[in-house]
Amino acid sequence: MSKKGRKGILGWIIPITNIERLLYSLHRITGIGLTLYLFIHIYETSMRALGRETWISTSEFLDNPVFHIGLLLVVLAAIFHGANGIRLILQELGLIAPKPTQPVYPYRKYHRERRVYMVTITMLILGIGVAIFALRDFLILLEVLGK
Amino acid sequence: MEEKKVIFRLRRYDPETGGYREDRYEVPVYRGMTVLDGLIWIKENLDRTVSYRASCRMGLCGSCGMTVNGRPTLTCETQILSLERDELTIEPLYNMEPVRDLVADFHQFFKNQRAIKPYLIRRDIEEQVEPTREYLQDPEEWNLYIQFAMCITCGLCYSACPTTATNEKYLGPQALANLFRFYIDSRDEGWEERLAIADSLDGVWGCHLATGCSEVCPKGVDPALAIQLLRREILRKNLGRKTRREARPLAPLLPPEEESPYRAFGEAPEFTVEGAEEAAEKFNILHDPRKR
Amino acid sequence: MNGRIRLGIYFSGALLVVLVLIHLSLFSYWFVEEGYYTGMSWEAVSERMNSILWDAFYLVFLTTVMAHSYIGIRNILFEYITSEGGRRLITYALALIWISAYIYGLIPIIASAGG
Repeated sequence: MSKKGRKGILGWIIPITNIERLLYSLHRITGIGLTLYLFIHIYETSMRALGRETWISTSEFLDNPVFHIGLLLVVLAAIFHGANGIRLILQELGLIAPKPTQPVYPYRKYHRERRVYMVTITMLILGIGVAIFALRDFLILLEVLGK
Repeated sequence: MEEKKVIFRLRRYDPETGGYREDRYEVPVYRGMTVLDGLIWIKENLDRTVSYRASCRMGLCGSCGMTVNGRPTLTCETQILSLERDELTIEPLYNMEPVRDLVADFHQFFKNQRAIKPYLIRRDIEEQVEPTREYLQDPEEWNLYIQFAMCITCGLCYSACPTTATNEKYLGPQALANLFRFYIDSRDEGWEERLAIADSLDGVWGCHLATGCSEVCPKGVDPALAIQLLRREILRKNLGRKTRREARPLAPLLPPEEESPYRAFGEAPEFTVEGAEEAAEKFNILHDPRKR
Repeated sequence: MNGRIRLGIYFSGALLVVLVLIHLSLFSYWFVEEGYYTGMSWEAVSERMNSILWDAFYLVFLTTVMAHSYIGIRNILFEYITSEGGRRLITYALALIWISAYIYGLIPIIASAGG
């Protein structure tokens, strides 16, 4: 079978037809990013087994703006992945699926409104998550960088 | 009324070099003119080598799907002025092998369509081939599947899907929606077979709800909904819960003195072309559930 | 079978929402006043890790997050490699990586469990 004509990895974002399509790409990218971070995090925390000095020197090595920004991105990614994940669990398993209806000309987008509600709720959860976990961190980070 | 000119940029596939080249054409546009009308105008007036596929020009046959400005579109149903652009980029449908210019190969698409067994599966095969009675169906039961039976197999959903972009084994939104259409049909008895086809990573579990398919569908089919509902059925089956109800019994038998209307057609005429008999036999084997 | 494995991603995902919220709150400035790593100092972490409840939390958390990421990455790769043999190879290769990372991740939990 040939893969000719298929968009490949570009197909994640091409063609962008709707907002869920964008959320899909972001969900993937954050998922891969979080996995990479997970491995680094496991390596970093396993330093504890080597004793107090190693742990403290690792902490000091990580205590600089670059890693702080990186960590902030990871937190943002996690919040997005979680908020969008809740939506996906509810929608993908058909737990809140509407009943099919007979399409009538001019065949508007059926059930689209319900999906848009779900996207809005995701965005709200995301906003609240960002407000609680990242906003204040971000302000303090700006202060630290300003010094 | 002043005449408006729109530039058509055709991204044409060349099978000899295996690459794409871009040609620009200036098309005068009138109110109500569709993208397909524009292509026909180019072929008639500017360049006779332009290839595209189209047939009915009224959104019934599903032949003229193309990518217009990066969005899979049924060109015969899209008016140029409604796009509000001075330039249109037209490409063959994504995620299908291009044949030439704007024509895409639907080979894999229809292979998937066949793989989901798009016909009523019955246990009483004899009755299905030589019907004596009617299958009963309520309007409510009809309502459950009619949305997914609206499909015209234009391939836009297949082209908009991110999973088909990499996974050529994935059944695709159209086939899965069609599978659900037969699964939920009150006359169908093949639901276990159908769920087994759907329950795979190249079936419903390959979908990640980007809902591009429902967004581009010109007939309001909403394949994403069908996939969600199929998932729910598979989940219920795995949890040992009740899934679909049994197929309804047939209509009561006609009294013996009344001639069944299904038998009134008489015999087919003799074959007149050489080799037609073998061809008909082959066709019958393909379409007779007793010989499948 | 392959499809059913993807069900695991939904259940582990739902669990992770709660677990990650707890995990994140530990180092958020809402809960730790001075800097990222004051709450992460050797003493602070030791105190936490001495409690059997926190050890259990980390064990569940690590297991869930590893399962979730394993299914997710495998799922993405399965879209690119579609041959049966290739998919089997990916399944085992990823399992090897993930299990070794899991054991690596268990080290601080086990090390602290003793005191």
